[in-house]
Amino acid sequence: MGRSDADLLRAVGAGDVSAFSAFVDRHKDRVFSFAVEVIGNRADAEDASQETFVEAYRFARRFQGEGSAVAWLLGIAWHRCLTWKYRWRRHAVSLDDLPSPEGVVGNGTDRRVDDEAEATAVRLDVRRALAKLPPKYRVPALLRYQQGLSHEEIGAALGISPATAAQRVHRAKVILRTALHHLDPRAGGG
Amino acid sequence: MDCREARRYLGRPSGPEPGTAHWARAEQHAAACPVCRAYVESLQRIDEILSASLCPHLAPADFTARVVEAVARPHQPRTAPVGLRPALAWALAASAIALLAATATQWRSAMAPSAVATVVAAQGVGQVLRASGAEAAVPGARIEVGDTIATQPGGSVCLCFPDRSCVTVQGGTMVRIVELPPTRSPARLDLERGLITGRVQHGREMLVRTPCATASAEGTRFCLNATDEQSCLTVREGRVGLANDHGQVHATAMQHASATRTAAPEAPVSAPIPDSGGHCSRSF
Repeated sequence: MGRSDADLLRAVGAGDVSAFSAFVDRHKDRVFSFAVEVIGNRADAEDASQETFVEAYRFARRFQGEGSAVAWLLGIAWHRCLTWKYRWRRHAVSLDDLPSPEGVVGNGTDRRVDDEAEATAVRLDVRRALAKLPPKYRVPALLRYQQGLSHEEIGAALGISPATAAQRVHRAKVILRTALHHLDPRAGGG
Repeated sequence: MDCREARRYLGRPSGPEPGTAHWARAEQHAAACPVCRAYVESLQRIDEILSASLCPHLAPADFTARVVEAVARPHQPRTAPVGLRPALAWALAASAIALLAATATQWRSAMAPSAVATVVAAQGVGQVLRASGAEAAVPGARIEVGDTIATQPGGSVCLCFPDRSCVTVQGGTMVRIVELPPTRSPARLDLERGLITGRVQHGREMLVRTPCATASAEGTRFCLNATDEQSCLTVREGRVGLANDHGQVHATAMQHASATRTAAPEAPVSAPIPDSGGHCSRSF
């Protein structure tokens, strides 16, 4: 078993670049995934992710070891994404990099291909619906469902209370329930 | 408890007191109400859909190497330290320029300049500060990426960009050109302090960073006034975003918005805007 995040960050704070490399390796996909969903395109998400880790390196000493290093890191990522998104780009989320449902088209005879097409279409619908949410709700939902963070961790990452984090996740779900009602025959619009 | 009230609690994580009784009543209601039961189930289904649909994206293979390389580079702050008095800032800028000029001449000669802006009008005292030294901002002067335009109170300099967007740098302003089209789509400026007015061509974008917020303008006319403590935006045409780490607002024509370092930009308010030859006055 490798070193814990707290151990790595302690070493990073002391200037250990190999520990930093291990920390980046461990969390790069997590941060990049989050940045892609928040910013909406891979190119800017790469830059924002890189800035996130550079900032984590600079401020590693500030991580006290209490609480989740992932929440701490994603808190930095959120601020980097916000800066990138609002500083250099328009508000709207681009879905250019998301897989198109036309990319996998079922032919009605191959069940596997049809299932794949259906799954891709659902993923795209979900991301479109998420992209339309206000950031206030979108980001807690991403941290919850993409990153698997608890409400406490979401609160720590965003600087809000766990109860507020829970409320925002719930509100996101209620809005998405209406937006995605076509995916669930049991759900109504109201 | 009716359906409407029950849905305020159903599917929501129940906190400790004081709402616990409400949750219990809502669940009692749902047990007897098929519509509300379906509502809860649909929220659970959304949980499942979200968890299954948000797949991870893989970072590029060389990502770690690039990040490690980036931290090996010395960090350079991009804006002047907060609280520098103007006179001190001028003195420091002049010293830095003199120091850099000696070492940068050879480097500059090897670097081909990218897109340039042009000074199309100037009045009063305005200077172009660059690594090779300071020169007067006079009509016809070429402004390159990295140059800083500094105007004394009462002066103004009007720049025209390659995409025909224009910026007027009003008196007592310091603004640095960070990027010019067509090297990258939006023109990017760092407004360290003072007032600029801009006219952005339709379909083009201009991003202006101030100490407190960043304004993004697309195909519009606007003016932006920056100090270390506050950024004030007024929009004459179109729509301009004003954002900082705390939030973002969009101001539309004839609206005014402002932002400070410590708080999200305030909601835009409509305000009469004096029409002084297309420029906003300093006092909003």
